[in-house]
Amino acid sequence: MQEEPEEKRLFLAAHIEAAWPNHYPEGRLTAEESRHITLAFLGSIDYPALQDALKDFPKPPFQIALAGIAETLAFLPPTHPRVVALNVRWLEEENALAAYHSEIGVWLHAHHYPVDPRPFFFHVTVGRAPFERQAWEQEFRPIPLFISGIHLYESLGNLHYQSLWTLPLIRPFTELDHTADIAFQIQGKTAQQIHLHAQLALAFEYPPIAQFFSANLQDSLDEIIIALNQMVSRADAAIGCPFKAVSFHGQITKTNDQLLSWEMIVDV
Amino acid sequence: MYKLQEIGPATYLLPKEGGMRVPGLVIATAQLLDEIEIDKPLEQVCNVAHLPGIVGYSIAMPDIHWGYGFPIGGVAAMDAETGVISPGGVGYDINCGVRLALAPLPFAKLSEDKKQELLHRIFSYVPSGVGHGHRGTRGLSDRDYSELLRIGARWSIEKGFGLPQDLEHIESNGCIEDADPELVSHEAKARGKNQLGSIGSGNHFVEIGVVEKIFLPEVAHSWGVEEGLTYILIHSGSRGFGHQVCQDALNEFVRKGYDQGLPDKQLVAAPIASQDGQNYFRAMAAAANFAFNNRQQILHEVRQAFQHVLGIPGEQIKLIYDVCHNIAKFENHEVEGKWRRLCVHRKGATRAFGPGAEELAPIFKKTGQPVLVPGDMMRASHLMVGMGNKLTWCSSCHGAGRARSRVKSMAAWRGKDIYDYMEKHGVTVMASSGRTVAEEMPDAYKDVDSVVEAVQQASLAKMVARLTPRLVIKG
Repeated sequence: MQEEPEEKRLFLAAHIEAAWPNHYPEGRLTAEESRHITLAFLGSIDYPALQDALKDFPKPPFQIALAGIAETLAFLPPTHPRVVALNVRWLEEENALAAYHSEIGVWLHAHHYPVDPRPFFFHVTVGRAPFERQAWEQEFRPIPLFISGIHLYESLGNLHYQSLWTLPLIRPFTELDHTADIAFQIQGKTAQQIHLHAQLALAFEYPPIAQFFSANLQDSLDEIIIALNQMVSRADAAIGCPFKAVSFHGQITKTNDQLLSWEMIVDV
Repeated sequence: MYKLQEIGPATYLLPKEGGMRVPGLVIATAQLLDEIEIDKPLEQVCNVAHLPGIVGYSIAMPDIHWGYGFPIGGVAAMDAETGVISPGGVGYDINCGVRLALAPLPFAKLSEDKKQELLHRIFSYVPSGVGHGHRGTRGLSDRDYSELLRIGARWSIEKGFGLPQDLEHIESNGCIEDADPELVSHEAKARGKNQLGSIGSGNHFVEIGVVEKIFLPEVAHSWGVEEGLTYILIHSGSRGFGHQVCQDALNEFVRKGYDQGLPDKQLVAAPIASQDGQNYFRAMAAAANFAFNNRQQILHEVRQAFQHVLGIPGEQIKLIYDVCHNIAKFENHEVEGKWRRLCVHRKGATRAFGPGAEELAPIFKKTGQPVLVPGDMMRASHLMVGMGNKLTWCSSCHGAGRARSRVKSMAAWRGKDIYDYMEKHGVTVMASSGRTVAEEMPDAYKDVDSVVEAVQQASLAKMVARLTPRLVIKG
């Protein structure tokens, strides 16, 4: 007797790591560790066959996690909303995710999987109905985030997802242990990206500072530190800031992956 | 790995090597040295010893830990003519310091209701936490700034935030001279505009507790300190104003290349005699004077709370002392039999003048100056008296010193009811941020008793009284 194919409800998605708020308004929340941007919905398909195909799954054009800010909420679909989602403004390689989405479409087509022809709307679902729209709008504050990896998820129902396969990305920053202050290892391809990711690391500690990000990214460590401190200063004068300053500490060094790395120490 | 040589009770020599101009001196007991992560701070002690014009030793206190360029708990004196001044040797929070006051009321006589009311009243009167300054007020004007930055705490007292007699109970009478408001940037003034009279975040606090034990009755008596009395301890500094003064100087010094030849860019330092060195000192003095005013106004609000809740008039809340523990000051010290003018950097260290010191008010000239050593928010803080130790340029420790990082402390207390834990240990805590409390939990700090024990053994200061916290406000 021939075995039935092992079918699962699967989709491909970019996993989101973010400075999630401590409190949410009423709603059925997606677990923080499962929040994602769906890149392709595959439906119920034969998982072992897909596993084989994944061997030549395209790598994203960004080697380091893509950084962004969720600046506004979206209630979907607009007519009778059932979903509370985040709109993301990418802070770098603005069109990279759209390009990658197209590349995934080509890969799906080549492997005879269905490709959704509708224009794709990138969003991060955080909650589902029932919810009170006004409360969500009132409480919302911008959320810094990054894509930490590309995953193949199985949908288990009732907002539960299980990751079956992962294409990890390099983290833009990692928090380090420091006796009195706070410290981060910042990574980037260029000095400018180090600057951007340093801003992101600070926003993960204190999200309101995101509104003071500088778009004028610097090319040398001294200028990066001076610019970060100008950002701290602007934030402190306007809304208060838990950071005293970013130290003139360390050097930008090259890692084995030919990336740049800097240990940022923040006096608090 | 550094090889320390014991040269006296709780006193170790870190021999000169490489480009060190002077040896290091570490104040600690063998037990403390075993318990703390010492390598990185000792590397910083060695780095400081490279600075031009350093005299005597690069000194580490028993609460030493890794800091910005200089270790926290570091002391370095530079010759005023040939030496350098380093913003990293003062720290970002210029004139961060502590002030201790006493209420004429046995703590045991306070009912639970009154304790809670007092705590809530102080919490509402004294802004604490990120961004919590005096919002809604007009803030400081240019005229306010030009006066308060020059005359220090007297400005607040003249405005009604305190008593004239408070002044002689403040280090340097609440004013570092030669401050020049014109040398302070617009950004610094913008940061400080609404922050005067606020605690801030991090390890800053207002603490109410009980004088638990007296060690030196004569000294305690002469200062009016009695067992069982209610004390008020305030820890804060120059807020964003001082941070920006430090940053402005660092930016300027780095851009001008003053870091060349130093083992760590964070030590960047300008010759004291240069225009840049003078400008930094005068801006730093302005920030120090901002900090004196800050603590003066916080105490005023606490006095108001005692008046409103317990009916104790403000003038009965007596200021014992206010010390700076992040500062550079010009002082005269005896070096190899000759008096020399030195610029003493104390970063996470407290001046500890002994009996007879010129600058002290008559009440303290007899005894030596009070040295305030806050511990963690549960176990204890200490009131000590300075012994005028010559090896350390009359300096002592400034606190317990961190033993565990903020990240580790957060992780250790995640998911636990920290307020309930503190309550069960006899301390009620109010804070703007639960995260700050988790980062500041008692086990994040060394045991302050062992730190002051080292200080006493090394003859830097003597224990006068042990203070036990009961009501704590954090940022």
